[in-house]
Amino acid sequence: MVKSHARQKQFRALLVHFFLSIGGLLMCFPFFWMVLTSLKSPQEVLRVDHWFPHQKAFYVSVQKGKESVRQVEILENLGDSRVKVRFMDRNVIEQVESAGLEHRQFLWSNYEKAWNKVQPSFTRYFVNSFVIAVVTTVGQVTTSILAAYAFVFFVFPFKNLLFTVFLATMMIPQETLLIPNYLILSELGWIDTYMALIVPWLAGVFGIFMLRQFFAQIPRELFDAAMIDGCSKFGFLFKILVPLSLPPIITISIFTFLGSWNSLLWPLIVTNSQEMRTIQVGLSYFSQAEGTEWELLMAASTFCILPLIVLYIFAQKYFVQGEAASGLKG
Amino acid sequence: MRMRLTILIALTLVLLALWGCGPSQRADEFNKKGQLKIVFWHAMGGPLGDVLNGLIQDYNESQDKYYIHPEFMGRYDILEQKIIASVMAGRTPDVAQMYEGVTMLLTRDEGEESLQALNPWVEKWDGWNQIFPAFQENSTYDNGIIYSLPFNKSFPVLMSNREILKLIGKKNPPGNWSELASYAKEIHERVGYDKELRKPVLKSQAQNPEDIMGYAFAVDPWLFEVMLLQNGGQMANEEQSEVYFNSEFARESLNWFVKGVQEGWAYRTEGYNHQNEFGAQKVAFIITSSVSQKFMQKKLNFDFAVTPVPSGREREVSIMSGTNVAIFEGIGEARTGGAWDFISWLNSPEITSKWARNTFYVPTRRDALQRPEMQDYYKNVEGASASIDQLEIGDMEPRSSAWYRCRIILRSYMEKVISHIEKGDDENPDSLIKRYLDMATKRMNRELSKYHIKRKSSS
Repeated sequence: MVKSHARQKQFRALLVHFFLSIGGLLMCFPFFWMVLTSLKSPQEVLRVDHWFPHQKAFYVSVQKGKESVRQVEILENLGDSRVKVRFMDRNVIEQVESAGLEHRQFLWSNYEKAWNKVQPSFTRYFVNSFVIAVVTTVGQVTTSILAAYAFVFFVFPFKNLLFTVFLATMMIPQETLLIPNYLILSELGWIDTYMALIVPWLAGVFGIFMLRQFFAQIPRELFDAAMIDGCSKFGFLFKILVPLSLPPIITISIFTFLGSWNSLLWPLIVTNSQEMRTIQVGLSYFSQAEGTEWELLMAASTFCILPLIVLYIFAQKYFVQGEAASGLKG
Repeated sequence: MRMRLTILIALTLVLLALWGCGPSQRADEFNKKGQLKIVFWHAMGGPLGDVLNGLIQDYNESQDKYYIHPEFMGRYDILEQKIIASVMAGRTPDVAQMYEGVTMLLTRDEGEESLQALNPWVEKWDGWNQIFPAFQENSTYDNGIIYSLPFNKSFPVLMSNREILKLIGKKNPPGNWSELASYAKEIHERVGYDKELRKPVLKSQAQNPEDIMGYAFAVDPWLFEVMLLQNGGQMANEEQSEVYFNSEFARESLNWFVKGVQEGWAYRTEGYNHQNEFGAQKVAFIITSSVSQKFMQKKLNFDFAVTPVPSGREREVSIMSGTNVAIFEGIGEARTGGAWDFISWLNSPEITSKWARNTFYVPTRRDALQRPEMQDYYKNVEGASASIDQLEIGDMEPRSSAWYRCRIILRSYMEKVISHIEKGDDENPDSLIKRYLDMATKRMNRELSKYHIKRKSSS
């Protein structure tokens, strides 16, 4: 009886894990597709009949010291080291030297092309995105902690009204604030500087709201007891409240970092020079109104998403907690 | 309390000080070679951006007075927002690429002139007479004021899979809409895709081939408007204060797409997916901007044809798309001179021909077509003549800034009609089309009326 119950339990666990694994694989599918596409040639990207990059023939030539690699279809061996080929990029049939032909399957060169395609290069964009995301995250977490602390543990006039006004600002679409914000930054002389990319995001209502809700669950008596024992207000905040509130603080940090890393519209509006641009602006270079360079876009997306995947691996627990607590997907 | 008050006053003073320290329009800057810096905002990325950057490099090396500093703004809509914000802040670039609606907004709509009238420059320039009349008209506003020169102009073109055409025994792509419908229908019935042979085949000669569709489209007012004009209709009255998208000509035009979806030979795709479907040989025909060929050609490993947009019943007409380049007010005499030098250089026969040959945009002036390299391009490159042949029949969409909103309204109602048909609703298609086009027209006219009232009050 006990054995069969244990077996049933095992079977149920197996079933659950089976479905979870399928769910996990489905979730991985877009990433899988992204990486495979990043290794294909432009012609292969649109092929619906195979998933993996196939072995392809390329004609490699050097013109004016620059290497040119073009995919070809070999039509006929003409002898004397000559081959009749069709150039895929212009659909032209020509005779070429067979020595110039090479076979490749995975086009790792797409990564190099994508990295160097934008000016000055993705290295600069990475540095910008990283600096902006880190400083914004630290700033926003700090201001959220201070504001939420005041809203919960201090008494001041119009406290609730002020908090409601704070919340109401969440309902204003960001797009409507673009031009007024641009005008303010322009008056301050901050356009095309790190200040414009960072300062407006140093405070966020979402973080204040989330922390206020968490702080409100902490007994008031704890604050009173600390005060009686001679602890200062900042002492209570940093020695007691912050250590107790690490999960929501990490959640806010993750969301702020992700928001900053993925931001496109704001960096484009407040920066002009290529040196101040971020990785999302770099990605937009491959996708235009008239068409998209899929293989390069996917290669660039792959290396842009890598830091986030590393972050996810280390902070998985908090991502899940954050989504459960806020009802938002990362 | 006193401490808090002191902090508050100090903060206010810092903010006030910062507020006043923002610079106004930038001062003239020179590089090491002594060339004056001209800032140019554009939204050309990918291969088009590469070509543009190459041209700018050529310009900077071709003379020693000016150097163009290009600044990429990602997308047209972001560029538009940024131009408006920069005008309000008084810190504009010197030159920018823009649609006509933005030109109208920055000049006629608000009763302010944020762009320079180019007439004094154009009068001294021998190139204006060579600019195609459609582009001249496109850049000329009330009272004959010229605010821009043409830049990246394109036309819709029909892309056909020649291998599929051969299978149904046709030598040439369809030349008009009814031919396109009948070819598409026949292809849908007779041709399939053989996954093993990896090519389209006749269904009668293959086992379990996949279906191939005749025609794929994205819901876009552009083609609908072309068809409407070709059928003898008109988009708006002369003042552009009223639109006629519920006329019988408009209903007939939309009905072409509806019939295709109903009969199964046409389907709609999202965004630019119809290009991908064409590349994957899932569909035989698409109509897209001539420039899309720049992005698509290296992906197409089959024989394809590019021909002008199919012709209609009444008129030979097509609608151009794309932006112009304009010079901002308040940038000073020296930079204005540099900005004009650059935009007129872009419109010189050699450069406009180079731009066209490398991007599939059309050249902006007639004498560019006489150049030997352009003749060679016209005769030998697939797709070159398809857009160039439409230059003499080019018309344009209404130009007001309210038209942008009208276009969104029109698209949303077109989408509603197609969605109803896709779902197989019982309502008669004619009455469905009439109902939705009536609603769209009413809403667009309301937008235009608001715009005209506002314009009158500000002028």
